[in-house]
Amino acid sequence: MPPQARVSTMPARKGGQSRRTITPARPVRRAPPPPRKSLSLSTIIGATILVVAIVAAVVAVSLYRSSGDSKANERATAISSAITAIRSVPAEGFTLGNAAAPLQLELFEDFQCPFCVEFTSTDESVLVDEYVKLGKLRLTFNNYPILGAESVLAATASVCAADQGRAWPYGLELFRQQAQAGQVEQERLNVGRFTTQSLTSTAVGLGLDEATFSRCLSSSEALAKVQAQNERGRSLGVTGTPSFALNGKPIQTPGNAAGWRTVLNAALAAVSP
Amino acid sequence: MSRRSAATRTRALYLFAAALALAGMAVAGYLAFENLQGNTGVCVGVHGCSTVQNSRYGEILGVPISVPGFLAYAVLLLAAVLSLRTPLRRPELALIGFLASVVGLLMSAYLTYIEAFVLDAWCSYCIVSALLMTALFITWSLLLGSAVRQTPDG
Repeated sequence: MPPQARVSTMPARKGGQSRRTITPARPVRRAPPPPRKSLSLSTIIGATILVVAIVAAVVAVSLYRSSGDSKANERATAISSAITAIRSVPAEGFTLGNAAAPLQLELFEDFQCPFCVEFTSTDESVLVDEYVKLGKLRLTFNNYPILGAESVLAATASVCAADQGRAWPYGLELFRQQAQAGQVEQERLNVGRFTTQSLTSTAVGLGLDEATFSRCLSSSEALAKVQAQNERGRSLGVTGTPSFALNGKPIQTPGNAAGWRTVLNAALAAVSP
Repeated sequence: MSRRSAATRTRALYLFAAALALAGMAVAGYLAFENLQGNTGVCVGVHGCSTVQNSRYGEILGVPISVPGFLAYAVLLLAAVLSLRTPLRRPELALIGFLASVVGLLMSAYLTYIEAFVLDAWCSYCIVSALLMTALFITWSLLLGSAVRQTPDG
């Protein structure tokens, strides 16, 4: 395009008129492009380090979270094995093992209690395998619901399972569900894991009569049995779960399998003639 | 090398990067589609696809790893296509492409390590993706170098 003369209107002078002036044509010059921002080596290195750190953090968090899932699966599998293992052990009501066993261990537990889930998935199988199956120990489960409405409902359901002769497999199955849900890794209470429907469904899965179980679950008699177990715990001075009483006397909870062996072997030695 | 031939070479590299990213999107997209439906896809050539994908390393923050993989390839494709269309290639696009390829390369290296030394199982899609990501990393490194050289003080 050829350069053209520009016509401009000058602002009016004081007291005068505006006037038009014609300025000589000048070639149109394009404004120079803005200088391109440089990409320095330090910017590249800094951004790369940042990205590497973010990727490392995401992978670490993901692995940490999945390790929790993995542990939950391991616990659930251990309890599933325990359910299979007790099939050959004599059981009556809430008791498991030989009625004439020299050692009688009472357990006080809450189905939502993470430590109870942990005990069930670890030390309890040692007790069953090494003492109960050999006729040295009999376990008596007592409900001691202290963690809210779902604990009471689950406790009542276990009483109803006991009425049909399946207290132990039913209780273990409830602990297995909590283990699978990751209750040990992250405690979550009264979040709908135990509902009338889910507890009934679990009962049916174990072969219990649905109608009988449902009637029992809504009965005041079942709740009264839970309260009786609760009273038994209180009379022994139980304040938390899991708690244990050996031959009628409260004991301090051994922290691991070796601790249990020490306590039980000492008790066996004491009752042996 | 003359300026024109350098520009032709750079354009060819961007086209190559776009093609690699497109191939990666196809692989990761297929796998993501299968994973989100609970499947592991058809395992070609090697055994262990389901072992790898169903392991705890097959997910990242609860999402199948093929999903962020697909997104990484999408970013790489977008960076390449935008660079091809932009008259003055912005160095920031080259940096974004380079960083996305770094992420992809790191994840591929991590997964390959897991396959070789932890799971002892190989997933054909992961191998293909690792090769594509390695090629993309090399390509974007060259493109970033070229972009830095074109800018003053770069």
